[in-house]
Amino acid sequence: MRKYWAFFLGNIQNTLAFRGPLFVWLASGMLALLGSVYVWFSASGGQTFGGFTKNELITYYILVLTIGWIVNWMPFYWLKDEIADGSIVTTTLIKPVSLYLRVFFAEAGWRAVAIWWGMLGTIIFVFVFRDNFVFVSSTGLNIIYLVFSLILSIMVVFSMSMVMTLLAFWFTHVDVFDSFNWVARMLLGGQAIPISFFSGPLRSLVNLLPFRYTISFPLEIYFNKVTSLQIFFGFVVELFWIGIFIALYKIMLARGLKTYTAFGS
Amino acid sequence: MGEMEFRFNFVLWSISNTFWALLLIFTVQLIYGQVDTIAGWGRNDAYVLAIVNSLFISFLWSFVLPSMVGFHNLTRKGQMDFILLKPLSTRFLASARTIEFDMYPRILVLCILLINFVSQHYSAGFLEWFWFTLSIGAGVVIFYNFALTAATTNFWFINIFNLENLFDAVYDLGRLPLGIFKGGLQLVFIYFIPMAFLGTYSSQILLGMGSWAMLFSYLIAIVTTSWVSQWFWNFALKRYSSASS
Repeated sequence: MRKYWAFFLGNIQNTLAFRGPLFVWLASGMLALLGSVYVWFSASGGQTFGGFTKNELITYYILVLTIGWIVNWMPFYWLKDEIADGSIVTTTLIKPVSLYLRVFFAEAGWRAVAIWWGMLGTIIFVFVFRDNFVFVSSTGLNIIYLVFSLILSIMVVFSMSMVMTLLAFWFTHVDVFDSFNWVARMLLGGQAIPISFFSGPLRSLVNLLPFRYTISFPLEIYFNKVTSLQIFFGFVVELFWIGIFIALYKIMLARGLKTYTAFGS
Repeated sequence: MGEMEFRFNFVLWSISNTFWALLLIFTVQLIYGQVDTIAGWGRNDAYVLAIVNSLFISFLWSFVLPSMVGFHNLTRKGQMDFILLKPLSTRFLASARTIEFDMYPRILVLCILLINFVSQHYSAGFLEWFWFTLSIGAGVVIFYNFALTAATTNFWFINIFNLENLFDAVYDLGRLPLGIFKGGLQLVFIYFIPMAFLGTYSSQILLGMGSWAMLFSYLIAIVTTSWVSQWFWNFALKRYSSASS
């Protein structure tokens, strides 16, 4: 396990060396959040929208920013380049390390630094919109559910990203798959709008797909929009999808390495 | 020619891009299922705004953004040296070297949607369409200048590989009516972050709500952003130190 700790520390150093991208992420997240918040200030047509009051919706979008910084563990962007340019051979394949764990600990190193930037953005927005931010009273049990759901959300996003990344063993350009993933996560994951805006069969489908369990599910727990039974069902679905993605990862890695040829390393 | 070497990728991107545009329009449907108006914009107005903004994004991703998002490699890997050595405008070579074609199907779909929708629900004449088309071109130029100014910061902050996220945030704001912001904040989103020129103004022009002041503001914005981006580019070049040769 000590070797993975080295990847963790190495990526912390790397993140601190290149701080510019963190600032860009923070600025872009805050810009997007500004738009989302002010839309609901200007909306007219009722007291509630999709089961949320205006203040709850403003709180929702602020927390989307926060939770995004916590759960969006997506090594896709740099790992696909390692596979494409062959450097994955020297960084991982010829070493006695698990690719999954190596990438996990590297991402953890990045997050260990980045999450403080996300918290900074959250604190700024909570302060600016303090008259509108809704602090939901939670029981100790609900807080435990929330923390557990965040951990599972990290695993869902990370595992999904790893599966997508391994497509680089077969396709030269894989960014388009990430594009499809983002479409699904924006719409079905609650990032663009709360999934309570959906109804009927579409809502049932959303409850079964993994995207809801990236951003929306922790927020539903925070706002007490789900019962204990629904929370347990959510955890079961999350564990199911984590299992599916890990199984897919193992199969794709085994098959991908059989056909993989690296240039330059 | 480069795009045609990866035909499967080109087809998938064309489908994905079109799907994104339809998703944004579908989001309007979902939101207006819960609200009546947003900053005085009703459902049909919001549809027009969403389609116009998607058109902007399509043009930006065809002509402007492919060069901008890869800009960090020029400074980080020393490729800027080879651009500086050529007897052409360095700004042009650095910022307009890549054009992508996978947005063309999306542009076609959006144009058909827009023309159909506007002709069914509004009465836009030749003059509205003419000024609208000009405003699209002007908006692309304004955003190009903004994006180049942002990309130029790579001369100091090495390896800003995620400028695409910043550009996403800015042009996505164009999907929202400018009226959601008031006072000083609205001025920021007109003069510093070109949100108004990426959807609201063009939509208003098309729907007959434009004014000469709006058209004049396009002219001012083009001149100002062009001057600022060129000045900043020259300022940055003077401080560029090569990473390779």
